[in-house]
Amino acid sequence: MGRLVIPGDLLLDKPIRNPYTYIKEGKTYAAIVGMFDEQQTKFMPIKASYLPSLRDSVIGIIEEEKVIGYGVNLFSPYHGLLSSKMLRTTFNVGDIILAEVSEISEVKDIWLSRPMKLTGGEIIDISPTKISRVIGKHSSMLNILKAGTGCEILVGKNGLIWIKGQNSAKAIDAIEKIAREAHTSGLTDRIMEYLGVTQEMLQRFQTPREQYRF
Amino acid sequence: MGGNSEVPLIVNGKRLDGRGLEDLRPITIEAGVLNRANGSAYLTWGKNKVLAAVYGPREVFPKHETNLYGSIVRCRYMMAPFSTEEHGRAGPNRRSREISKVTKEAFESVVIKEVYPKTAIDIYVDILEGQGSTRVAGLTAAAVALANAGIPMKDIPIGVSVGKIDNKIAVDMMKEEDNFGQADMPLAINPTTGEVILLQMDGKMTRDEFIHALDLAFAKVPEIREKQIEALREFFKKSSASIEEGNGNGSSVIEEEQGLLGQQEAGVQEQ
Repeated sequence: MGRLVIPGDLLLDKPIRNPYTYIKEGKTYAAIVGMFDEQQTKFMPIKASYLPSLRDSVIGIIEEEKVIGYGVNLFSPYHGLLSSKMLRTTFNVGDIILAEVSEISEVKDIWLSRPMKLTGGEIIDISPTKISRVIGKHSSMLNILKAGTGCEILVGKNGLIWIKGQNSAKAIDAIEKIAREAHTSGLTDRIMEYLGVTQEMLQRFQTPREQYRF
Repeated sequence: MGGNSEVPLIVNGKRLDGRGLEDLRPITIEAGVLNRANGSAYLTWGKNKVLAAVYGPREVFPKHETNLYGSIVRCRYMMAPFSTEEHGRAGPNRRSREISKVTKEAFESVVIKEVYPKTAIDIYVDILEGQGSTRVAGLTAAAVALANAGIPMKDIPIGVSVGKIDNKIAVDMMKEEDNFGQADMPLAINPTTGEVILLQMDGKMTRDEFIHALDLAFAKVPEIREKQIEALREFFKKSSASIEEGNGNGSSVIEEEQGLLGQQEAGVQEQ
Protein backbone atom coordinates (compact mmCIF):
# COMPACT_ATOMS: atom_id res chain seq x y z
CA MET A 1 0.00 0.00 0.00
CA GLY A 2 1.27 3.45 -0.83
CA ARG A 3 0.62 6.54 1.17
CA LEU A 4 1.03 10.20 0.36
CA VAL A 5 3.91 11.72 2.27
CA ILE A 6 4.92 15.35 2.55
CA PRO A 7 8.31 16.88 3.41
CA GLY A 8 9.30 16.05 6.96
CA ASP A 9 7.36 12.78 7.22
CA LEU A 10 9.23 9.82 8.67
CA LEU A 11 9.77 7.11 6.07
CA LEU A 12 12.08 4.54 7.64
CA ASP A 13 13.93 3.96 10.87
CA LYS A 14 17.16 3.23 8.99
CA PRO A 15 19.27 5.60 6.91
CA ILE A 16 18.80 5.29 3.15
CA ARG A 17 20.26 7.67 0.60
CA ASN A 18 18.07 9.10 -2.13
CA PRO A 19 17.93 12.57 -3.69
CA TYR A 20 14.38 13.02 -2.51
CA THR A 21 14.86 11.99 1.12
CA TYR A 22 17.12 13.19 3.89
CA ILE A 23 18.68 11.50 6.89
CA LYS A 24 18.55 12.80 10.42
CA GLU A 25 19.68 10.89 13.51
CA GLY A 26 19.83 7.64 11.56
CA LYS A 27 16.31 7.90 10.23
CA THR A 28 15.05 8.65 6.73
CA TYR A 29 12.57 11.44 6.12
CA ALA A 30 10.77 12.54 2.96
CA ALA A 31 12.01 15.76 1.37
CA ILE A 32 9.36 16.03 -1.31
CA VAL A 33 5.67 15.25 -1.80
CA GLY A 34 5.40 11.68 -3.02
CA MET A 35 3.97 8.22 -2.67
CA PHE A 36 5.77 5.88 -0.30
CA ASP A 37 5.41 2.12 -0.39
CA GLU A 38 6.22 0.68 3.04
CA GLN A 39 6.72 -2.95 1.98
CA GLN A 40 9.09 -2.32 -0.87
CA THR A 41 10.60 0.85 0.59
CA LYS A 42 10.00 2.61 -2.69
CA PHE A 43 9.50 6.33 -2.83
CA MET A 44 8.01 7.95 -5.89
CA PRO A 45 7.98 11.75 -6.02
CA ILE A 46 4.87 13.27 -7.54
CA LYS A 47 6.76 16.09 -9.20
CA ALA A 48 10.46 16.82 -9.39
CA SER A 49 12.93 18.38 -11.77
CA TYR A 50 15.03 16.10 -13.95
CA LEU A 51 18.27 14.97 -12.35
CA PRO A 52 20.60 13.70 -15.08
CA SER A 53 22.25 10.32 -14.78
CA LEU A 54 24.59 8.53 -17.16
CA ARG A 55 23.23 6.70 -20.22
CA ASP A 56 19.81 8.31 -19.94
CA SER A 57 18.21 8.94 -23.30
CA VAL A 58 16.84 12.46 -23.37
CA ILE A 59 14.90 14.59 -25.83
CA GLY A 60 15.95 18.19 -26.27
CA ILE A 61 15.81 21.20 -28.54
CA ILE A 62 18.94 22.66 -30.11
CA GLU A 63 19.09 26.09 -28.58
CA GLU A 64 22.37 27.63 -29.67
CA GLU A 65 25.40 26.97 -31.77
CA LYS A 66 28.71 27.26 -29.96
CA VAL A 67 32.34 26.91 -30.98
CA ILE A 68 32.53 23.51 -29.30
CA GLY A 69 29.18 22.29 -30.56
CA TYR A 70 25.58 22.87 -29.66
CA GLY A 71 23.71 23.92 -26.57
CA VAL A 72 20.63 21.79 -26.01
CA ASN A 73 17.59 22.75 -23.96
CA LEU A 74 16.62 19.69 -21.96
CA PHE A 75 13.77 21.27 -19.96
CA SER A 76 15.74 20.65 -16.79
CA PRO A 77 17.76 22.99 -14.55
CA TYR A 78 20.88 22.08 -16.52
CA HIS A 79 21.75 22.55 -20.16
CA GLY A 80 22.90 19.84 -22.47
CA LEU A 81 26.02 20.15 -24.61
CA LEU A 82 26.69 18.36 -27.85
CA SER A 83 30.32 18.31 -28.93
CA SER A 84 30.70 18.83 -32.68
CA LYS A 85 33.89 16.73 -32.62
CA MET A 86 31.80 13.61 -32.30
CA LEU A 87 29.25 14.61 -34.93
CA ARG A 88 29.03 13.63 -38.56
CA THR A 89 25.98 15.82 -39.17
CA THR A 90 25.08 19.40 -38.45
CA PHE A 91 21.99 20.72 -36.75
CA ASN A 92 20.03 23.92 -36.91
CA VAL A 93 18.73 25.91 -34.01
CA GLY A 94 15.25 24.59 -33.24
CA ASP A 95 15.94 20.98 -34.25
CA ILE A 96 14.62 18.35 -31.89
CA ILE A 97 17.01 15.56 -31.01
CA LEU A 98 17.10 12.33 -29.06
CA ALA A 99 20.48 11.80 -27.45
CA GLU A 100 22.22 9.90 -24.72
CA VAL A 101 23.87 11.39 -21.65
CA SER A 102 27.51 10.40 -22.02
CA GLU A 103 29.13 12.46 -19.30
CA ILE A 104 28.10 14.69 -16.44
CA SER A 105 30.89 17.01 -15.39
CA GLU A 106 31.38 18.08 -11.81
CA VAL A 107 29.84 21.45 -12.58
CA LYS A 108 26.77 19.64 -13.95
CA ASP A 109 27.38 20.19 -17.65
CA ILE A 110 25.49 17.41 -19.41
CA TRP A 111 27.49 16.11 -22.37
CA LEU A 112 25.35 14.32 -24.91
CA SER A 113 26.29 11.77 -27.55
CA ARG A 114 24.65 9.70 -30.30
CA PRO A 115 22.19 12.41 -31.31
CA MET A 116 19.32 11.58 -33.61
CA LYS A 117 17.25 14.26 -35.27
CA LEU A 118 13.51 13.86 -34.88
CA THR A 119 11.46 15.24 -37.73
CA GLY A 120 7.72 15.77 -37.65
CA GLY A 121 5.61 14.39 -34.86
CA GLU A 122 4.54 15.98 -31.64
CA ILE A 123 6.15 16.44 -28.26
CA ILE A 124 4.39 16.33 -24.92
CA ASP A 125 5.94 16.88 -21.56
CA ILE A 126 5.09 15.12 -18.31
CA SER A 127 6.78 14.98 -14.93
CA PRO A 128 10.17 13.18 -15.23
CA THR A 129 9.28 11.07 -12.19
CA LYS A 130 6.43 9.48 -14.16
CA ILE A 131 8.50 8.50 -17.19
CA SER A 132 9.31 5.11 -15.64
CA ARG A 133 5.61 4.35 -15.67
CA VAL A 134 5.25 5.31 -19.34
CA ILE A 135 8.06 2.88 -20.22
CA GLY A 136 7.01 0.11 -17.84
CA LYS A 137 9.01 -2.95 -16.93
CA HIS A 138 11.00 -4.13 -19.97
CA SER A 139 9.18 -1.47 -22.03
CA SER A 140 5.85 -3.23 -21.48
CA MET A 141 3.79 -0.04 -21.28
CA LEU A 142 5.58 1.53 -24.24
CA ASN A 143 4.84 -1.56 -26.33
CA ILE A 144 1.17 -1.33 -25.42
CA LEU A 145 1.12 2.30 -26.50
CA LYS A 146 2.84 1.46 -29.79
CA ALA A 147 0.61 -1.53 -30.46
CA GLY A 148 -2.56 0.33 -29.57
CA THR A 149 -1.93 3.43 -31.62
CA GLY A 150 0.54 2.41 -34.30
CA CYS A 151 2.59 5.51 -33.50
CA GLU A 152 6.31 5.85 -33.25
CA ILE A 153 6.99 6.86 -29.65
CA LEU A 154 10.33 7.89 -28.21
CA VAL A 155 10.65 8.64 -24.52
CA GLY A 156 13.22 10.96 -22.99
CA LYS A 157 13.97 10.49 -19.33
CA ASN A 158 13.80 14.27 -18.89
CA GLY A 159 10.03 14.10 -19.26
CA LEU A 160 9.64 14.78 -22.97
CA ILE A 161 7.89 12.25 -25.19
CA TRP A 162 7.96 12.39 -28.99
CA ILE A 163 5.02 10.87 -30.85
CA LYS A 164 4.61 10.50 -34.59
CA GLY A 165 1.81 8.77 -36.42
CA GLN A 166 -1.79 8.84 -37.50
CA ASN A 167 -3.18 8.12 -34.07
CA SER A 168 -1.04 10.57 -32.09
CA ALA A 169 -4.04 12.18 -30.37
CA LYS A 170 -5.02 8.80 -28.93
CA ALA A 171 -1.45 8.15 -27.79
CA ILE A 172 -1.29 11.55 -26.07
CA ASP A 173 -4.56 10.82 -24.27
CA ALA A 174 -3.20 7.48 -23.10
CA ILE A 175 0.09 8.99 -21.90
CA GLU A 176 -1.75 11.69 -20.01
CA LYS A 177 -3.88 8.99 -18.44
CA ILE A 178 -0.72 7.14 -17.38
CA ALA A 179 0.73 10.32 -15.90
CA ARG A 180 -2.41 11.05 -13.92
CA GLU A 181 -2.80 7.53 -12.60
CA ALA A 182 0.88 6.73 -12.20
CA HIS A 183 0.52 5.87 -8.52
CA THR A 184 -2.32 3.35 -8.92
CA SER A 185 -2.13 -0.39 -9.47
CA GLY A 186 -3.38 -2.36 -12.45
CA LEU A 187 -2.53 0.50 -14.78
CA THR A 188 -1.16 -1.77 -17.53
CA ASP A 189 -4.46 -3.64 -17.77
CA ARG A 190 -6.44 -0.42 -17.81
CA ILE A 191 -4.31 1.08 -20.58
CA MET A 192 -4.62 -2.16 -22.58
CA GLU A 193 -8.37 -1.91 -22.23
CA TYR A 194 -8.36 1.80 -23.02
CA LEU A 195 -6.44 1.28 -26.25
CA GLY A 196 -8.05 -2.06 -27.09
CA VAL A 197 -4.77 -3.95 -27.11
CA THR A 198 -4.68 -7.75 -26.88
CA GLN A 199 -1.77 -10.02 -25.99
CA GLU A 200 -1.40 -11.14 -29.62
CA MET A 201 -0.90 -7.55 -30.74
CA LEU A 202 2.06 -7.27 -28.40
CA GLN A 203 3.88 -10.25 -29.92
CA ARG A 204 5.66 -8.23 -32.60
CA PHE A 205 7.06 -5.78 -30.06
CA GLN A 206 9.53 -8.16 -28.50
CA THR A 207 12.57 -6.46 -29.99
CA PRO A 208 14.22 -3.88 -27.77
CA ARG A 209 13.86 -0.22 -28.62
CA GLU A 210 17.55 0.11 -29.51
CA GLN A 211 16.47 -0.66 -33.07
CA TYR A 212 15.68 3.02 -33.47
CA ARG A 213 19.28 3.97 -32.93
CA PHE A 214 21.94 4.35 -35.54
CA MET B 1 3.12 50.66 20.75
CA GLY B 2 4.00 50.74 24.38
CA GLY B 3 1.30 51.74 26.83
CA ASN B 4 -2.42 51.19 26.64
CA SER B 5 -3.93 52.06 23.30
CA GLU B 6 -6.57 54.71 22.84
CA VAL B 7 -8.68 52.27 20.89
CA PRO B 8 -10.13 49.42 23.00
CA LEU B 9 -9.04 46.21 21.32
CA ILE B 10 -10.74 43.77 23.68
CA VAL B 11 -14.41 44.32 24.46
CA ASN B 12 -16.18 41.87 26.81
CA GLY B 13 -13.38 39.37 26.37
CA LYS B 14 -13.74 39.37 22.58
CA ARG B 15 -11.52 41.00 20.02
CA LEU B 16 -12.74 43.47 17.43
CA ASP B 17 -13.79 40.79 14.97
CA GLY B 18 -15.42 38.63 17.65
CA ARG B 19 -12.54 36.21 18.10
CA GLY B 20 -11.25 35.01 21.44
CA LEU B 21 -7.64 35.70 22.43
CA GLU B 22 -6.47 32.27 21.28
CA ASP B 23 -8.42 32.00 18.04
CA LEU B 24 -7.00 32.17 14.54
CA ARG B 25 -8.79 33.79 11.67
CA PRO B 26 -10.19 31.25 9.16
CA ILE B 27 -7.52 29.95 6.77
CA THR B 28 -7.97 28.42 3.34
CA ILE B 29 -5.12 27.27 1.10
CA GLU B 30 -5.23 26.04 -2.47
CA ALA B 31 -2.13 24.60 -4.11
CA GLY B 32 -1.23 24.61 -7.78
CA VAL B 33 -3.23 27.63 -8.90
CA LEU B 34 -0.77 28.94 -11.52
CA ASN B 35 -0.03 26.92 -14.63
CA ARG B 36 3.24 28.53 -15.66
CA ALA B 37 4.87 28.35 -12.23
CA ASN B 38 6.57 25.19 -11.00
CA GLY B 39 4.61 25.46 -7.80
CA SER B 40 2.07 27.88 -6.46
CA ALA B 41 -0.42 28.45 -3.69
CA TYR B 42 -3.27 30.82 -2.99
CA LEU B 43 -4.00 31.51 0.65
CA THR B 44 -6.69 33.46 2.41
CA TRP B 45 -6.15 34.15 6.07
CA GLY B 46 -9.03 36.19 7.40
CA LYS B 47 -9.12 39.12 5.00
CA ASN B 48 -5.55 38.55 3.83
CA LYS B 49 -5.21 37.26 0.31
CA VAL B 50 -1.82 35.94 -0.71
CA LEU B 51 -0.55 34.45 -3.95
CA ALA B 52 2.78 32.61 -3.78
CA ALA B 53 4.66 31.23 -6.78
CA VAL B 54 7.85 29.20 -6.97
CA TYR B 55 10.00 28.96 -10.08
CA GLY B 56 12.87 26.57 -10.23
CA PRO B 57 15.25 24.98 -9.78
CA ARG B 58 16.38 27.00 -12.77
CA GLU B 59 19.48 28.62 -14.16
CA VAL B 60 20.91 31.49 -12.15
CA PHE B 61 20.88 34.97 -13.63
CA PRO B 62 23.05 36.97 -13.03
CA LYS B 63 25.60 34.19 -13.35
CA HIS B 64 28.02 35.47 -10.73
CA GLU B 65 25.52 34.62 -7.99
CA THR B 66 25.84 30.92 -8.82
CA ASN B 67 26.76 28.55 -6.03
CA LEU B 68 28.60 25.53 -7.42
CA TYR B 69 27.74 23.38 -4.42
CA GLY B 70 24.06 24.08 -4.01
CA SER B 71 21.08 26.03 -5.21
CA ILE B 72 20.48 29.59 -4.11
CA VAL B 73 17.15 30.66 -2.69
CA ARG B 74 15.74 34.04 -3.64
CA CYS B 75 12.57 35.59 -2.38
CA ARG B 76 10.55 38.62 -3.36
CA TYR B 77 7.72 39.73 -1.12
CA MET B 78 5.52 42.48 -2.45
CA MET B 79 2.33 44.14 -1.37
CA ALA B 80 0.13 45.11 -4.27
CA PRO B 81 -0.60 48.87 -4.37
CA PHE B 82 -4.31 48.10 -3.92
CA SER B 83 -3.76 45.72 -1.00
CA THR B 84 -4.27 48.23 1.80
CA GLU B 85 -6.92 50.82 2.59
CA GLU B 86 -4.75 53.59 1.26
CA HIS B 87 -3.45 53.12 -2.26
CA GLY B 88 0.28 52.50 -2.02
CA ARG B 89 3.19 52.96 -4.35
CA ALA B 90 4.17 50.10 -6.61
CA GLY B 91 7.62 48.57 -6.38
CA PRO B 92 9.95 47.60 -3.58
CA ASN B 93 10.30 49.66 -0.45
CA ARG B 94 12.21 49.34 2.81
CA ARG B 95 9.56 47.16 4.44
CA SER B 96 9.13 44.74 1.55
CA ARG B 97 12.88 44.34 1.18
CA GLU B 98 13.19 43.49 4.84
CA ILE B 99 10.42 40.91 4.65
CA SER B 100 11.91 39.42 1.47
CA LYS B 101 15.18 39.02 3.30
CA VAL B 102 13.79 37.37 6.44
CA THR B 103 11.56 35.06 4.37
CA LYS B 104 14.52 34.08 2.21
CA GLU B 105 16.61 33.30 5.26
CA ALA B 106 13.81 31.24 6.77
CA PHE B 107 13.55 29.13 3.62
CA GLU B 108 17.29 28.81 3.21
CA SER B 109 17.34 26.81 6.43
CA VAL B 110 14.61 24.48 5.18
CA VAL B 111 15.39 23.84 1.50
CA ILE B 112 17.89 21.03 0.84
CA LYS B 113 20.19 22.91 -1.46
CA GLU B 114 22.69 20.18 -2.37
CA VAL B 115 20.31 18.28 -4.66
CA TYR B 116 20.34 20.84 -7.47
CA PRO B 117 23.71 22.63 -7.48
CA LYS B 118 24.18 25.70 -9.72
CA THR B 119 20.49 26.53 -9.72
CA ALA B 120 18.22 29.18 -8.28
CA ILE B 121 14.91 28.70 -6.53
CA ASP B 122 12.81 31.83 -6.85
CA ILE B 123 9.95 32.48 -4.48
CA TYR B 124 7.49 35.24 -5.25
CA VAL B 125 5.01 36.27 -2.59
CA ASP B 126 2.35 38.77 -3.59
CA ILE B 127 -0.03 40.22 -1.07
CA LEU B 128 -3.25 40.99 -2.90
CA GLU B 129 -5.06 42.12 0.20
CA GLY B 130 -3.30 42.85 3.47
CA GLN B 131 -5.03 42.96 6.82
CA GLY B 132 -2.23 42.31 9.28
CA SER B 133 0.30 39.46 9.70
CA THR B 134 0.98 39.32 5.99
CA ARG B 135 4.56 38.16 6.38
CA VAL B 136 3.53 34.97 8.15
CA ALA B 137 0.63 34.47 5.73
CA GLY B 138 3.06 34.90 2.84
CA LEU B 139 5.52 32.47 4.39
CA THR B 140 2.81 29.86 4.97
CA ALA B 141 1.67 30.18 1.35
CA ALA B 142 5.24 30.09 0.01
CA ALA B 143 5.92 26.90 1.98
CA VAL B 144 2.97 25.19 0.27
CA ALA B 145 4.13 26.52 -3.10
CA LEU B 146 7.63 25.09 -2.51
CA ALA B 147 6.24 21.67 -1.63
CA ASN B 148 3.97 21.90 -4.67
CA ALA B 149 6.96 22.69 -6.88
CA GLY B 150 8.69 19.48 -5.81
CA ILE B 151 11.66 21.18 -4.24
CA PRO B 152 13.44 19.01 -1.65
CA MET B 153 13.03 20.47 1.81
CA LYS B 154 13.31 19.25 5.37
CA ASP B 155 9.94 20.41 6.53
CA ILE B 156 7.01 22.60 5.53
CA PRO B 157 7.37 25.66 7.76
CA ILE B 158 4.36 27.52 9.07
CA GLY B 159 4.02 31.13 10.04
CA VAL B 160 1.98 32.49 12.92
CA SER B 161 1.94 35.82 14.70
CA VAL B 162 1.38 36.53 18.37
CA GLY B 163 1.22 39.82 20.20
CA LYS B 164 0.08 41.82 23.15
CA ILE B 165 -3.13 43.80 23.04
CA ASP B 166 -4.66 45.62 26.02
CA ASN B 167 -2.10 43.88 28.30
CA LYS B 168 -3.18 40.43 27.13
CA ILE B 169 -1.32 37.98 24.92
CA ALA B 170 -3.24 37.05 21.78
CA VAL B 171 -2.55 35.03 18.67
CA ASP B 172 -2.90 36.09 15.02
CA MET B 173 -2.74 39.87 15.00
CA MET B 174 -5.00 41.67 12.59
CA LYS B 175 -4.41 45.13 11.21
CA GLU B 176 -5.98 47.18 14.05
CA GLU B 177 -4.21 45.11 16.69
CA ASP B 178 -0.94 45.49 14.83
CA ASN B 179 -1.40 49.27 14.62
CA PHE B 180 -2.75 49.97 18.10
CA GLY B 181 -1.54 46.97 20.10
CA GLN B 182 1.43 46.91 22.46
CA ALA B 183 3.53 44.23 20.80
CA ASP B 184 3.53 42.13 17.67
CA MET B 185 5.70 39.07 17.13
CA PRO B 186 5.69 37.14 13.85
CA LEU B 187 7.15 33.64 14.02
CA ALA B 188 7.94 30.86 11.58
CA ILE B 189 8.26 27.34 12.94
CA ASN B 190 9.25 23.97 11.53
CA PRO B 191 6.39 21.82 12.82
CA THR B 192 8.16 18.45 12.98
CA THR B 193 11.23 19.67 14.83
CA GLY B 194 9.89 22.76 16.56
CA GLU B 195 12.73 24.90 15.22
CA VAL B 196 12.02 28.62 15.07
CA ILE B 197 13.26 29.91 11.71
CA LEU B 198 11.90 33.45 11.87
CA LEU B 199 11.27 35.61 14.88
CA GLN B 200 10.80 39.33 14.90
CA MET B 201 9.25 41.54 17.52
CA ASP B 202 7.90 45.02 17.52
CA GLY B 203 6.87 46.56 20.87
CA LYS B 204 7.50 45.49 24.41
CA MET B 205 6.77 42.31 26.34
CA THR B 206 8.06 41.04 29.65
CA ARG B 207 10.00 37.80 29.80
CA ASP B 208 6.97 35.89 31.09
CA GLU B 209 4.73 37.38 28.43
CA PHE B 210 7.26 36.43 25.76
CA ILE B 211 7.32 32.81 26.93
CA HIS B 212 3.54 32.74 27.10
CA ALA B 213 3.35 34.17 23.57
CA LEU B 214 5.81 31.60 22.29
CA ASP B 215 3.80 28.77 23.86
CA LEU B 216 0.65 30.16 22.29
CA ALA B 217 2.30 30.26 18.86
CA PHE B 218 3.47 26.66 19.21
CA ALA B 219 -0.02 25.59 20.26
CA LYS B 220 -1.42 26.92 17.00
CA VAL B 221 1.11 25.13 14.77
CA PRO B 222 -0.90 21.89 14.19
CA GLU B 223 -3.99 23.84 13.15
CA ILE B 224 -2.13 25.74 10.41
CA ARG B 225 -0.13 22.69 9.33
CA GLU B 226 -3.35 20.75 8.86
CA LYS B 227 -4.50 23.35 6.31
CA GLN B 228 -1.22 23.09 4.42
CA ILE B 229 -1.36 19.30 4.26
CA GLU B 230 -5.00 19.47 3.21
CA ALA B 231 -4.08 21.80 0.32
CA LEU B 232 -1.32 19.47 -0.89
CA ARG B 233 -3.62 16.44 -0.62
CA GLU B 234 -6.36 18.20 -2.53
CA PHE B 235 -3.93 19.12 -5.28
CA PHE B 236 -2.72 15.54 -5.52
CA LYS B 237 -6.29 14.24 -5.68
CA LYS B 238 -7.19 16.77 -8.35
CA SER B 239 -4.15 16.13 -10.51
CA SER B 240 -4.26 12.35 -10.24
CA ALA B 241 -7.96 11.78 -10.71
CA SER B 242 -8.63 9.68 -13.78
CA ILE B 243 -10.28 11.59 -16.58
CA GLU B 244 -13.29 9.28 -17.01
CA GLU B 245 -14.09 8.65 -13.38
CA GLY B 246 -13.65 12.23 -12.32
CA ASN B 247 -12.30 11.57 -8.86
CA GLY B 248 -9.93 8.64 -9.22
CA ASN B 249 -10.62 5.15 -8.01
CA GLY B 250 -9.59 5.92 -4.46
CA SER B 251 -6.90 3.30 -4.33
CA SER B 252 -3.36 4.45 -3.97
CA VAL B 253 -1.64 1.10 -4.22
CA ILE B 254 1.69 1.15 -5.94
CA GLU B 255 1.83 -1.57 -8.49
CA GLU B 256 4.28 -4.28 -7.67
CA GLU B 257 5.01 -6.07 -10.91
CA GLN B 258 5.40 -2.88 -12.91
CA GLY B 259 8.45 -1.83 -10.99
CA LEU B 260 7.64 1.84 -10.55
CA LEU B 261 11.22 2.81 -10.12
CA GLY B 262 12.89 -0.42 -11.08
CA GLN B 263 13.93 0.87 -14.47
CA GLN B 264 15.09 4.24 -13.32
CA GLU B 265 16.63 3.14 -10.06
CA ALA B 266 15.38 6.39 -8.67
CA GLY B 267 13.64 4.68 -5.80
CA VAL B 268 14.91 4.39 -2.30
CA GLN B 269 17.81 2.01 -2.74
CA GLU B 270 19.01 -0.02 0.14
CA GLN B 271 22.71 0.26 0.54
